[in-house]
Amino acid sequence: MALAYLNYQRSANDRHYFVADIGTNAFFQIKIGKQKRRYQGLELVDEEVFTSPILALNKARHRLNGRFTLPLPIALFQDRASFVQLLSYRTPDKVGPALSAVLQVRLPAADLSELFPNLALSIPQAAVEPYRVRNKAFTYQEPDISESLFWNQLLNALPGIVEQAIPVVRQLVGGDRSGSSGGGGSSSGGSGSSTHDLINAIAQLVQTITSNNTNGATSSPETGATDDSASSSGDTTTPATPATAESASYYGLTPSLAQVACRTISPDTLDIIQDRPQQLGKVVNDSLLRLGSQPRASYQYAEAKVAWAPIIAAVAPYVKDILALGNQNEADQRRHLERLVELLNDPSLTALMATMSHVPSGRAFTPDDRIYIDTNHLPKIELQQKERVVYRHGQALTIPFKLATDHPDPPARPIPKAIVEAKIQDPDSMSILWEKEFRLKDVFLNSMVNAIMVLPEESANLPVNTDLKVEITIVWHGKQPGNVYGTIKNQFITLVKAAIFDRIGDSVGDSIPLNDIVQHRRFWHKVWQGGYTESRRWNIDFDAKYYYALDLVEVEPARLETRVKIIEDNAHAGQAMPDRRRVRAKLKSGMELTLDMLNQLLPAHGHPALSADELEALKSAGLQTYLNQTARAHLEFRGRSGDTGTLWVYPELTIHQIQILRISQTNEQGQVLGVDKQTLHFPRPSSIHFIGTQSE
Amino acid sequence: MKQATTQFPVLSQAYAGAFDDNPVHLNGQKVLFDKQVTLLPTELKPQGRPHDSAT
Repeated sequence: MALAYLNYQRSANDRHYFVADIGTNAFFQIKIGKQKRRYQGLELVDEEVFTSPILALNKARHRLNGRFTLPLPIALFQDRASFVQLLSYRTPDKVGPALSAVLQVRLPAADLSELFPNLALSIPQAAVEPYRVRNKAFTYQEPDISESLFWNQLLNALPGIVEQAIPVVRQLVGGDRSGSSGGGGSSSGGSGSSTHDLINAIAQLVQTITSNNTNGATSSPETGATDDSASSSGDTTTPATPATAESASYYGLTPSLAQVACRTISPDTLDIIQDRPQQLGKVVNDSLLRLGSQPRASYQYAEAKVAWAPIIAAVAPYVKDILALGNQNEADQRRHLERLVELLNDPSLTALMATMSHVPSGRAFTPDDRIYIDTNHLPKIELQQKERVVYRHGQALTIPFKLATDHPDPPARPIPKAIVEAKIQDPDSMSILWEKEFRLKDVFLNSMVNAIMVLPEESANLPVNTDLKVEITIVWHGKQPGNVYGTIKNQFITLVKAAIFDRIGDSVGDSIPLNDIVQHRRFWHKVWQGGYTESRRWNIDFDAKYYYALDLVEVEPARLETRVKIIEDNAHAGQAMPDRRRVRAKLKSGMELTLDMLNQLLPAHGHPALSADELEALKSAGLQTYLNQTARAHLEFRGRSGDTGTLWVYPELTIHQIQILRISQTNEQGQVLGVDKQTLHFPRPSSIHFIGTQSE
Repeated sequence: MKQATTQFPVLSQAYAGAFDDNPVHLNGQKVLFDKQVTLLPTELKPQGRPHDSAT
């Protein structure tokens, strides 16, 4: 088969080397030009600066195929011509032609100086710094707005919703019980019985929660268990809990969930995650599962493998919609039920449930409601506008706690034997980063336990500058054989090296457009290029989103692939091409910025570049929340047949004051006791320019 | 003396019709528009989970 395949290999010894393949053709030709153009659907080199004679391939050497290495002197790419194309023929008089794709060869140094062909270059090539930019698949996504909505709505509105929800959900899922709205159920029949079961489970949970709201806390242990507890004083009338009466309204949780949260999560940790509903849900869920490992509550979380409350969270907005319907007609109810079922079948919920389905490991125990783990004494510093427990990374760490009770007359005798299970987890994925078990003797209530120790080599392997969840579980045997009691606490900590990013401050000076296409080439991104040839005229309307993500690991930036999704197109298969092609599409693309590339900009704008130590401090999820950004625009391209449109993007930056905290004092337990504030300057993208161009 | 030629002019404030009267070129193509848009912080998750949002 005749071929014309050309692929760039390398450049060496003043030559560009290509792999060429002409298949069964015997003759070939090379063309080099400054531009490329389309002619009758074919891509051709244009503004040619070099055309080789028609050459014959030595078939004696290439008997089996037409593949060979093609060296081309770099000098042939004169006048900044960078486009090259291979043409092959069956005969020397150009019979049976085949054309390769037009390749663009990277020119040395200022390879983009031709961006302004109408203007002369004045920057010497020596001034152009070499750069590397990686290309990557689009590896980011924004959380679907509905996801955060449903979490926020659930956590804020659940208590109010559930009371009203039961009859409505019952009515809507009651297809197997009654007739009228059973049509709603049958409309979702294709979803299978699991959906039906799930809805039933939700209805049941709604009922349970409502009943719990009426009856008070759900997870109070049976008095028998308390009596048997080693810590029991015999008074079982006052369940001691760190949760106060008003805690029920904390964080928008139901009273029962708020009680669990206040018992099992330290106040500073609750403060950190209160505006992160997903983390809050996961931590509460984890605690529920842990407490429910020997279920005593009326709803059995362990058996379900998921805490149903977060799932109710997922459907809360939809339930709310259903409630808003009131007594409207069946068709509307059916439509809303379909939306509910649609959500339940949504992969995002499945993924969410998957994260919820994590079953904590550890010993089963009966929660003792009168005893709790107290970590309030841990020293804290204000970091990223929250009080946090901070430890020095790479040092031996001790995480002390007290086994506490609010009982007015606590027993004086200790718990003879206890086991402490300690885990350090990623609070997003709940993956366990470190885990250890410590056996204790004679644990006195309200006295400090310095059992949990992390070795220096272990702490050096833990992530820095990010929140880590420490889960402390302590279990002990009751007087009766086989009775095991326990309690847990979740405490967030942060490990820091010498310094850590704290907050971003005001901008300094005017915004700086990175519009020098040589010096700022790394920031420029050719996002899209295209057009149509089959219609006399064409229009493309893009709903474009461009993302900047801060990569804390890499040195070189990466351009993310551009994804285009056609929403509307007036050309249809099997029909004549319209005279004016109209296309509406969504486009998304982006770039991973790095701290290094941003740092290199500083000297040119009157600020010293940060040291390696200072840059290390900025490698923080906290900074990412400021530098992960997006811009959205409606862009319109139009042209005639054969025209090409191109979309470029470049950013403008502002220099901001950045406050870092430098550790000034730690104790022997590795806890950070004091920090010094230091102000740095660092750039942050503030806006982007979408540049649309068109061939003439 | 030659002017610096690698500075692409900031055209976002320019009247759109000016592009027709006095075309600016980028990479051999005529510039149609320069639309400046403010960036807003967003939460980005590593991919691998469903519900791809933008497209």
